[in-house]
Amino acid sequence: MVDTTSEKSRRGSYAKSKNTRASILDAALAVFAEAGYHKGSIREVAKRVGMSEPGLLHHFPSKSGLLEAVLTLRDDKSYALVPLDGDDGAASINGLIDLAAHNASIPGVVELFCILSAEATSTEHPAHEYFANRYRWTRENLRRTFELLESSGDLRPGVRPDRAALSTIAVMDGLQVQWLLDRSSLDMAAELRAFLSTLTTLPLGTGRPETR
Amino acid sequence: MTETPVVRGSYAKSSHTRTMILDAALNVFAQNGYRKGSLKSVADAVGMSEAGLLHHFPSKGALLAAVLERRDAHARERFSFDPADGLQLLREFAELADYNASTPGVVELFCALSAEATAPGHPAHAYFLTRYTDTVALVRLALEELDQRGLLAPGIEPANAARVIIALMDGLQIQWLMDRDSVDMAREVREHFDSLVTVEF
Repeated sequence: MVDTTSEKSRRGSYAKSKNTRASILDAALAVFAEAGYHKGSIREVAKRVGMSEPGLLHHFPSKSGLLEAVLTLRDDKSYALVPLDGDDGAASINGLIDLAAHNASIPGVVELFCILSAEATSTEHPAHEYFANRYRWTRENLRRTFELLESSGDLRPGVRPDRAALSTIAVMDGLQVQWLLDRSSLDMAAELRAFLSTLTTLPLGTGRPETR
Repeated sequence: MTETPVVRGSYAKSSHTRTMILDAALNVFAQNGYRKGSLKSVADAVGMSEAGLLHHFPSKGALLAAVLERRDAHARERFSFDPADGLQLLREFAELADYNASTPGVVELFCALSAEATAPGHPAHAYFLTRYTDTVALVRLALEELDQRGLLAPGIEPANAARVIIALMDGLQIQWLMDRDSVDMAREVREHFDSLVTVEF
């Protein structure tokens, strides 16, 4: 994360800086979502918020730092859709299908995420820690979700919560690659739903395409 | 009197050189990762200059895509991948996951390149598109074969299950690369296959 302490004290306006950061992140998310990480330029982001490039770099000194902040913002949006750490297992599982449906409406973000998670497997990558933590958090909470379903008797026989968590995340990631390669080849939400129905006996939704 | 034209001889030689380079590159990338694995170390391994190597593969990107094709070719030599025996094909896929765990650098290469190549303009886009289409179709045929013999678990739909199997294998690779102690890829794949079929896997 970028430290903006010096910025805050110099301007003496925390709220202003916070607003600026938020606008930059919104613009960056849009730019990366449209053009991908490599083609999405800092300059274009700066242009959209009516700033100079050095002005933007003052808030986010590097493209990778900006990227990490964008990913965190995306996670917050996903979290709003799927509060995985809640106590309603059925809602969490259905939320995953909603998320897959929602992701189909933001291909650029999915592409960004896909490329970056693959790149960031290398421990030297600037986003490695971010992704490692993200996977740990998701796996842990999804395991808990499946445990909730287990105790309410909603898991199919032989399904183990820890492994169900691992494989659900893997399937969601893997479906994104296939979908990005050829969007007409599959419907991520429908495929995920069919997969989840091999794990749980719960009635599953079909995914609300745009949940905002 | 030999009839072998000069051009052909030179083609055969060039093709042999390409194969040598690719095998060397597979080794170098498997051990050092594809980012650290330099063109120079590949060139060194085959006793060539870097410029000489670039004559056969114009860029590292071109070399990387060819390395993955070579890996596929090796896998086809080892395994039959015959969908007429669905159970055997699934077993081979699980073995492949085991084998992949011994070549982290190549798995890393595959993951990163397949993600980048999802973009239609990417030089390896066509390669990956074909590879995925073919692989999903192959697994689907295998599952249909199992279905015809009544060996699929209830509710399993071959088209969906095929896409999910490929997705699962890809996704497990990412989590395994992130933290190799956290995932046993082959075990998870076998476990999943076990849930798809009604016989002992």
